[in-house]
Amino acid sequence: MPDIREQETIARKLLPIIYVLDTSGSMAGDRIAAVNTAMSETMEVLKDVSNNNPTAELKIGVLQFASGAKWITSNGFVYMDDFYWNDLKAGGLTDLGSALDELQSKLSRSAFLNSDVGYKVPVIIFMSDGGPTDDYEKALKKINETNKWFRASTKIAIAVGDEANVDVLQKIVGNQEAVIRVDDLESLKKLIRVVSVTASMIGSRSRTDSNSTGDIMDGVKGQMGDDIQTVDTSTTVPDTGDDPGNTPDDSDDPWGNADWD
Amino acid sequence: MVFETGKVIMTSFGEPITIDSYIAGGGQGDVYKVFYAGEKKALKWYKPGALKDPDAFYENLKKNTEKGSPDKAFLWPEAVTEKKDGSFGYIMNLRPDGYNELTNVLVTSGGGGFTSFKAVVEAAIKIVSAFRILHVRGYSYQDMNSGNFFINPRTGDVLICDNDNVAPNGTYTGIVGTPQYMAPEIVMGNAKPDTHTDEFSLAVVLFMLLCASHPLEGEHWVVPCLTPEIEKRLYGNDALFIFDPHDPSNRPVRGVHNNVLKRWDFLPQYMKEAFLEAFSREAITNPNKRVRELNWLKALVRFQSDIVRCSTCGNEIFITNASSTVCDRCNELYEVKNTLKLYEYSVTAAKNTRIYKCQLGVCNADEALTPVGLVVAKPDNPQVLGFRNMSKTIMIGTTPSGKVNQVQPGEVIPLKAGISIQVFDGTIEIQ
Amino acid sequence: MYKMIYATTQGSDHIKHGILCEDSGLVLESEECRIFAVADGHGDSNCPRSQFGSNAACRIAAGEMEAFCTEIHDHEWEAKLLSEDRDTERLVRQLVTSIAAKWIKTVREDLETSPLTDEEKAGCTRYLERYDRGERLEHIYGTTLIAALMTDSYLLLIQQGDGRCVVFDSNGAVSQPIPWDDRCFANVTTSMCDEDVIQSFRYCVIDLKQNSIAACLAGSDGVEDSFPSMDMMHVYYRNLLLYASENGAEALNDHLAETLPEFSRKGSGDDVTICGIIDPESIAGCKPAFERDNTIVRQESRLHDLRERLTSMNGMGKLEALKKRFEEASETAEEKERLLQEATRKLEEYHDDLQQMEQDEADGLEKLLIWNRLIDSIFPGNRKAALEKKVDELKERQELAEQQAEQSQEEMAHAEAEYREYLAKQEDLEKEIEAAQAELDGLREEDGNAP
Repeated sequence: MPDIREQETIARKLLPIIYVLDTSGSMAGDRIAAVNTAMSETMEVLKDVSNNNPTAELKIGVLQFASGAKWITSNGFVYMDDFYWNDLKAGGLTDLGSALDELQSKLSRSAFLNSDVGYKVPVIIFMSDGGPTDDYEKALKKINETNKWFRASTKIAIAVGDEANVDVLQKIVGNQEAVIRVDDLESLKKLIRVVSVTASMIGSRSRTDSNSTGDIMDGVKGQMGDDIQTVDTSTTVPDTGDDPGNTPDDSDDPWGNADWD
Repeated sequence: MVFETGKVIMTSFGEPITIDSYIAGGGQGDVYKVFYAGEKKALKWYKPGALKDPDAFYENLKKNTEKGSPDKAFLWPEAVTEKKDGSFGYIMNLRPDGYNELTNVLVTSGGGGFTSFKAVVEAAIKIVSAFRILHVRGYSYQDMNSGNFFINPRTGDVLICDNDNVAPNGTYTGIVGTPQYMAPEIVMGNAKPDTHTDEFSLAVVLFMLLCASHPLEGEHWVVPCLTPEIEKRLYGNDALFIFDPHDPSNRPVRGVHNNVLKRWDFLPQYMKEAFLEAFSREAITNPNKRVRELNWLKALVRFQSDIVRCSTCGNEIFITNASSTVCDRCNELYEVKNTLKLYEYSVTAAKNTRIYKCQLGVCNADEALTPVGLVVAKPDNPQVLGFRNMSKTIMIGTTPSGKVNQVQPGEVIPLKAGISIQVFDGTIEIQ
Repeated sequence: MYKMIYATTQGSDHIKHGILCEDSGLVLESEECRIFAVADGHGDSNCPRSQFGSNAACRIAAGEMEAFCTEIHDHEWEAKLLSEDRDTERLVRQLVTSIAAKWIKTVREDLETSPLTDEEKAGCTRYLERYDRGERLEHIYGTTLIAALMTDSYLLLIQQGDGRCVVFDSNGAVSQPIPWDDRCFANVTTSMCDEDVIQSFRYCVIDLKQNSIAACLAGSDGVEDSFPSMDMMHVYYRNLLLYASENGAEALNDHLAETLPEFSRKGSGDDVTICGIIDPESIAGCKPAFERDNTIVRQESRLHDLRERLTSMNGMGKLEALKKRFEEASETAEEKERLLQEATRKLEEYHDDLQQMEQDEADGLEKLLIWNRLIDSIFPGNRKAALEKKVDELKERQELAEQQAEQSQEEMAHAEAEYREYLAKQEDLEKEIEAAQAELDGLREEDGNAP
């Protein structure tokens, strides 16, 4: 008679943290070096976080984009223990659309999220220092319309330097307040770490808010202080409906010309 | 058993109908695309046993084909077929593109394809006038329900189908109708279909069109199982209007009837009054107390003119009392600069406002929708409005200073306050 | 003979954070029917009264279903209900409309009699504005709902939101017959408080005369969230059913009351509720099938996990990187060793020279004098001191080289250890996978040969 108390190892839920990193030409040199350092340091810190978290186990995905996009974690998300940072090199364009297309194809139960019950809603961290060089809008529309994981994901963007296109990043994360601007490299390193840790802790909470972006941003702002700038909400554009209605043709019929005063 | 392509059926007078393809099927019968007399037509073939009294039905159908369609709004039976294999059918025109079944329009969110409420009111007017025509000819529509109405949501045009159930007043072809649209006395089994029962069904269809909810389905309707007993109570002599002023027990239920909860308050007072009258306890229990088609027309044409668009946000506004009204979406004031004072009330003089004969005074039902005038904008200066004579007679216009002008059909009078217009024994005052 | 199962427990996380149990369950037996309901109130601070909501949902669903059962019976509409066409849709949609409408009314009335307290408002960070405007008030009570109505001829199952309803037929085959709503995934779910609740409700009707069932169980998502896969959750349910068939349904209820708290603690941490209708005799007949299925599924699940771990291990090339590091560290160690030897040799050379010099001085030899004159011309100043200094320098360098060699040895050892450990881990994993696969193949073969 099977003993019910003989419990199968109950796995913790899995929380994917996905990095979408700009490795275009403008990142070459100090910037990519800072990112490389930040990523390998952050992974060490995240190992601790993951081991001490009772509700969720972290899994990491890294997607780089320059001329085209490519998953560094090409077999799927990787457990913290198996994570190994190989320094990225920078060079090429800034094909954000390709990155979105890759997300669209892998964020699904039949691809990287291949578990019936295992995955929590992912955290996606975008990082870019420039503007897109391909048709990102088409890709963004497609992924928003067809991919519920992407829609539900907590999305945060890091805009590096002056040339970063903040508007585009805001559109991608769908939230003007979830874009963080950073200029100097030390702050960038710290920021990558802070965002990762805060997101992993808040995203794994079992009490569900369908989207924890607000809390994550609060946490990040608290720890980074003046080293970053976050973006203010801008005004919304009012809806202008068009005016059909039945308009009979009144183009060239005679207009009264008698004396009507 | 579906007919194959190429099968030939004869009309009752010996002309061949060739089957092309199957279109759709319902409880009563199947509809096919066919060739007849060199044209593409539709054939409806009844399922054997679907009709209670097939012989009476056949005779009535044949008579209808001989009398012809009362109006172009009716997709009318053109010819009956021979009796064959225990059943028969009839041919009619194919339904043109762009028309949706009213049932679909009512349940689709987002307005069901209507681009504006004004188009909804236009459709309502067309449905009423189509029915008027039917009744004037002495017919009654014995199976009126929203499945018979096809609406082109862009234009508001209405096409009435399934006219095989139309029969002269007093005849009974065995069709009884669907309970939701049936007059209470029919639900109770106390009467056969006639003009008054149609009037009730019409009121139900209009309410559903304008409020997207059934007038008798409120809290009484929220039961786990709709049994025949409950239906009899809901739609029979005990039926209660969801906004009945004396008995609030059947009010619309939040979460279920959200549409009408949103729309009712926006309807103009005169529309509400029409519905209150149509579904009052008197009207429910006494067929003679129902709202007549002419009165619906009068209310609806007035409503149509009271619908304008906010110039700031594009939202449709229902003008109250022909005076400046605040837009409920953006809170901007819509200024009513001019009005047209008519026989019983004033309407907003905005672009596309129409005046019909029934608004000028006493008028018989046939002429109710005769066009009188239309408010137009000057092509090169849309801010400047005028009133065009849309009738076929000459209008007499008198200026404030007493000058009298003749206005030919098609001519436009500038919209200036103080001008008084005589036409069809009635007066329109521009204010 | 059908028996009712009912068990519910407050989640261990909820206990920890002082949050009420937001799950509700209900079972009802009468002459005509059996009913159960499971509802999971949303664990979101913007839904402070979700417990009331889940409670109300269960009560109302049960009440409406009972009335529904009576009407269907009185009008002999079972055939209509089982017809799988528009009749079924109309009947069931009417039922869920009634349930939803009454739930909305009930929660609204509760809100009117007791408005939100300041404490409750404090948690409504994202919705307070809307609540103040009178919008989305039902969200305060948001909950999911699964409910079942069983008579002699049919089993009606309805669901809004997440949680899972599992049916075991009389052969022991398992299914989740209620259509799923894809909008429910991860921690996202549809709800009784959604505006489109009536159209979103899913249902299925099972003809019991054609398909008799052994058990039907519904669990809140606290159950499935405690397992890595649906299959493993089914294993758990089979075990519960086997327990009931051997000890009785009441005993199972008691057992669940005892074990669910631990279950929650080791698993999802969420509230856990399980309700259902079971036929212990029928289950007894499924015992061989259940045991077989469980064994195979457990093995499959284990194999899947192992494979996933292996894929992850190969996911970022860590093994290659560690190997490379080890190789580089070896090279470095070799190099440092070579440098050490070099430094040692040089030191010995000079050291020997110095010793020789001292010896010669002591011997006071002629050739020493010539030698000294020679050295004087090369090394200005005190020759001996200079040589001694040189020897000291070389000694320092040699010590440094020794340190570095040691260090590089340590690093190499460390890199080697890391590499070998990871390699071993991978090899062990591969062996485990092979063994597990073989075991699974064996089990499947047996199953194929089983009667």
